[in-house]
Amino acid sequence: MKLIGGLRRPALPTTPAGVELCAVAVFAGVRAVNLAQFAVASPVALRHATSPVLLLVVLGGYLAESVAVGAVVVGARAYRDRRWGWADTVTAGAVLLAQPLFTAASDRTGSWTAWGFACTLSSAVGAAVVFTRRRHIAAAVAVLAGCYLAATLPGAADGAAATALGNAFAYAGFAVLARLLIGYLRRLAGDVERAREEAARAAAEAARLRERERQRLLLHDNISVLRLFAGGGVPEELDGPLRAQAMALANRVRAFLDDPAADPPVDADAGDPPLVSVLRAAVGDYRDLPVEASVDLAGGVRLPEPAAGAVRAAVGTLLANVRVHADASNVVVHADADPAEGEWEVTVADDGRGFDPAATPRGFGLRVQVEQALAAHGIAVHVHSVPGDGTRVTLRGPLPGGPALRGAVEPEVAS
Amino acid sequence: MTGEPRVRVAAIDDDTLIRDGLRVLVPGLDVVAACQDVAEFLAVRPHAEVVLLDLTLTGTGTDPVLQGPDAVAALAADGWRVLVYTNERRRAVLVACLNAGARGIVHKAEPLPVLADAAADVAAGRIVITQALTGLAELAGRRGRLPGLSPRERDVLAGRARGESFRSIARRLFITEKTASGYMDQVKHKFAAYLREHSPADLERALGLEPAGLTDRYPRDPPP
Repeated sequence: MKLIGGLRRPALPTTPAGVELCAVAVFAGVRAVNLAQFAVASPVALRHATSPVLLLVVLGGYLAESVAVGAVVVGARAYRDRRWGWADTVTAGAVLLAQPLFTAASDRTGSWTAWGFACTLSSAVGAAVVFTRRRHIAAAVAVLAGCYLAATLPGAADGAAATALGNAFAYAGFAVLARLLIGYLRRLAGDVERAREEAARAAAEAARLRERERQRLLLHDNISVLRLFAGGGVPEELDGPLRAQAMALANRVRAFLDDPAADPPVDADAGDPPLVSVLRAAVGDYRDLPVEASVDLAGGVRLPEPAAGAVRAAVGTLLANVRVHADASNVVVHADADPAEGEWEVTVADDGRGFDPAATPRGFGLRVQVEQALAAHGIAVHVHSVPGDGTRVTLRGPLPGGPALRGAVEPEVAS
Repeated sequence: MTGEPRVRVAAIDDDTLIRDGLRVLVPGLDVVAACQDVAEFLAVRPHAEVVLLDLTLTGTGTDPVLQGPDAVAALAADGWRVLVYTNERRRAVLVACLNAGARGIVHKAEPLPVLADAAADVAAGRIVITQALTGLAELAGRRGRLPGLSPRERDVLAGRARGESFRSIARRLFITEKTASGYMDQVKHKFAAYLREHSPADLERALGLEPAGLTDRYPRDPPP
């Protein structure tokens, strides 16, 4: 199933892992095609066989081995285990040697009764995939061609012998071509990988420089506060404000350490603020909570200024509620945008105490600062909470330029 | 957890307090070995089901030691199930750990029972990821990177990314909690497979991660 899943993907990844997956698909595919061809021809083949029972026994063994190899390579998503390569080669050799047991001499070339030849060509392809060393591939081809000739040549007529020699050559041809292709693809994927890493390293270097600049800014602000504390004897009227500033700086340092990339970017350009920045700013004030912000899906959404301010205040109020009431160990701020519906959506969820929305009157924060304030901007608020199972508040608003404004307050009730 | 067989774990951490404290603090874990670094662990090769690995193993020495995603890769290549136990929160680094073959990630800030549950999950062959990575899995799915997800798996993933409990998801989708968490296990397996099979640079581009941290190390040797 995984293989099918792999093929159904828009494209295999252009990485070394992708090349191996592709090789697995080709190897398994060639084998499957050969077996399917045989399945179609099997009624005739069975009629002409000198011993249909033996034919079926050998075929059964071969199918079992094919399924085993197939399961292993599909599971590993690569055909690189040499032991299986040898097992497949030896099985193919045995199958070839067994052909005379159930075929008449005249049927051993150019007939599906002697199905061994067509089916074992995939083993030559497989050898080119699984073995890295040329002499291993050559040895596998020698086994295949040798067994084929040993089973076909004795007692063959002149024409049949020529055909058999030509066929034996096909094992080598298939292996060489497959090896050429897979070797080239592997090198190509390796080069692509190196090029990507090169580009990423350059980008990382640029990011490091930006990072250093940000660190400089952050540390700069701390110096004056630290100096004041270090000097001792802080005037009493400065004590409170100074402590507050120290706490804010401590939180900023912590947020910085958590995920430097997630720090709200300083948006110098004018225009509507991005929803992502609005949310990060709101979350930034509550870094003492175990908050995780997953907001990438709303990348590109910008809110008009008054709505942006209301959303930031509302998310702040919701997080303040979590801080005071929820006793949560996980808090999630999630953002999403659905251009088809013309809507963005922000979820603030915690895994804390929860409450019964039907029985509990809404506090001032939720009622006035969240629901009423957002309704004024056409943003709907939906509160879902169950005692003991946390609280989830969803805000939904129209995308600027979106098709429809939804009702100000979601009629939907928590189920 | 009492009554159930305890998970046999080995801890690799440069912090003595963690190494010695786990035994005492987490009753669900049977700490069979505690090592300072990967080399020491590989020399001992204790009989453990799960390896708890700290990402920063600078220790007290000055010699460079194997750490971070490279340490994960070395252990995974040797066949160990690695559960990363770290303070590291940068998504790019956590993604790099899964790319290197880690089976799970738990933050040291989590309550201790979470660690015990995560170790049991990893021992049972499941994948354990953080909330931030669940969000990233949703992002990957929505950007068409996880085409193997079924509609139900997408529903459950969307709920989990929004912080919804399995209980609530189960009620909403008319399924049992166990079924819901089973769907999520499938999602995590597919997400982890996607991360393993794509190069760090690909993942940075596809998931919009900050480059730093993912590729500021040498590429690992390709598997033989």
